[in-house]
Amino acid sequence: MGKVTLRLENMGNFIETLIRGLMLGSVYALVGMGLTLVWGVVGIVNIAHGEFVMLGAYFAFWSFSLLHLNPLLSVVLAIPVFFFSGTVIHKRVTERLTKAPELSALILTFGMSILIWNLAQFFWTNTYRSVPYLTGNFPFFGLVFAKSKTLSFFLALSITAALFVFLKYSKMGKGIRATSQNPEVALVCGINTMKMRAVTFGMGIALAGAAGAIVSLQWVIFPQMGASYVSKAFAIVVLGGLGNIQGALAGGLIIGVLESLVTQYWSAKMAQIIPSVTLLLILLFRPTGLFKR
Amino acid sequence: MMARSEEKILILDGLVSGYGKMEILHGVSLTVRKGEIVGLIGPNGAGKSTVLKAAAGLLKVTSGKVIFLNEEVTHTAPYQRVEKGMAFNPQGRVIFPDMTVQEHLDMGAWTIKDRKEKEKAVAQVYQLFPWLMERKRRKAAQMSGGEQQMLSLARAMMIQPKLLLLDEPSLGLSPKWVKTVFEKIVEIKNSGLPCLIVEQKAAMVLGYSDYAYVLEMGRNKFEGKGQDLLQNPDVRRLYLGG
Repeated sequence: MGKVTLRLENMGNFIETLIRGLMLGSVYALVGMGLTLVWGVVGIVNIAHGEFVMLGAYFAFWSFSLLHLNPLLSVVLAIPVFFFSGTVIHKRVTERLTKAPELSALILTFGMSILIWNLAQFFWTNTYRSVPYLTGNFPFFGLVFAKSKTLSFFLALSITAALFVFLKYSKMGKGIRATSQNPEVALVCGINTMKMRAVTFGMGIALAGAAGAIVSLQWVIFPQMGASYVSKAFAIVVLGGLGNIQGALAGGLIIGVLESLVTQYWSAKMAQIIPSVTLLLILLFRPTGLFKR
Repeated sequence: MMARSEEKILILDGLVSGYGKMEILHGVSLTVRKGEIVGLIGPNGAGKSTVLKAAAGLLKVTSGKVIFLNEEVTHTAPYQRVEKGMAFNPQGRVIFPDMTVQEHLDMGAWTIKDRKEKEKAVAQVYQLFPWLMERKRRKAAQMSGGEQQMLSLARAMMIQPKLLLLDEPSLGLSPKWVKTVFEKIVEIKNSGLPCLIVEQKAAMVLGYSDYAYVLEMGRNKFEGKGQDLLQNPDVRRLYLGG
């Protein structure tokens, strides 16, 4: 009897770890999908992608501490705010990169990344911040989950679902897919591919910003936090196949689950190397990603 | 032989164009008239595809004019030329691999705002390509090269164009599919739509052409009725392999 209970407890622990991984991964997936979307459609590798996660987190933090805005509302508000900023940044800064060699995009967005987090450091200091909104846990069939993480999970899933529906069924979503799959034919269909690219860039930034606002519900916020997200996002994009949105979703969940398992059964330190190890292994053995297009 | 129609659909007048600083066309002129299939042939590197791209607005024209339906469009954006009724079927990979047949037609109808008009266009295109109807949900990547070329043609027909530009529609197709594609093009022309066709298979396209131009090194070399050029000893020797 004793043995069976022990096993059940282990099983419960394992399931809890898995679900925690999926919750974590759903937020990573948002960041990864934004990066892969911009990469696939606009053709820009946005090194500064993680900085927009950071800005999204600060967006939620300041609206909470200054305006006493409900962080849930911040997540929803972050989407149009970051979308609009993204399209403006594209028009003013990154649009010129679409016809430039790939290295130019890397250098420009790398510079942008340094500029953004230095400005954040200058204005907001290195103080660690957090949004004490939802604290505590709740039990679920004998398992225990943090309220904030569960909420994050549902927010991330809703945004993902909305993104999929938009890309699959809306006219603009189809135009974006067409631009990504065959820009020349998209152009001769009469699609304003330049506009599609600007919209896509905005969507990528909106996904990063929303992810950041969600992140603020559960982790500390600081100016350099973007770096860890962009490295996870790169692993996710490569895992899922470049430009493959569904792949990025799967990739995000996989990285989340792996991190959660390693944290639980090995150490939190080891979990930090998961993204880079995954990136390395995939590039070595399956450079086109896990999934067939 | 009938005289060429007086009504000019497309006029290219002394086009100079190319890729960046590399000039490919050094002054090409041609005319497509109502109800014609016009062939454009010439050796590799003569600039045949460049002519179509410049006409469709995909390349910058540094000198010369593009006149479409009596209106100068030399510097008009590609999507605006589509709205005016210029359909272009580019060379090579002409499809969106991950999109379905129905989605291709949706993309072809991108510039049509009126819903009824779009439904009408869809119905007409399915009438012209009945076999596509049963493959509505099929992804383009799962089709053969010939089917993809026909799908691309169907996509181009969605705007109910006034002019069809075709860049090597026979490229990479089996002889059977080449015949099928060209028979469809003739059917389209007979319904009243003029076509400008660039082809590597010179003798074949001359056989289908009402009028044709021979290009060499980015300049006009010969022109004439398709049949006349087929008989022309110079053209035969230089471009048709004897």
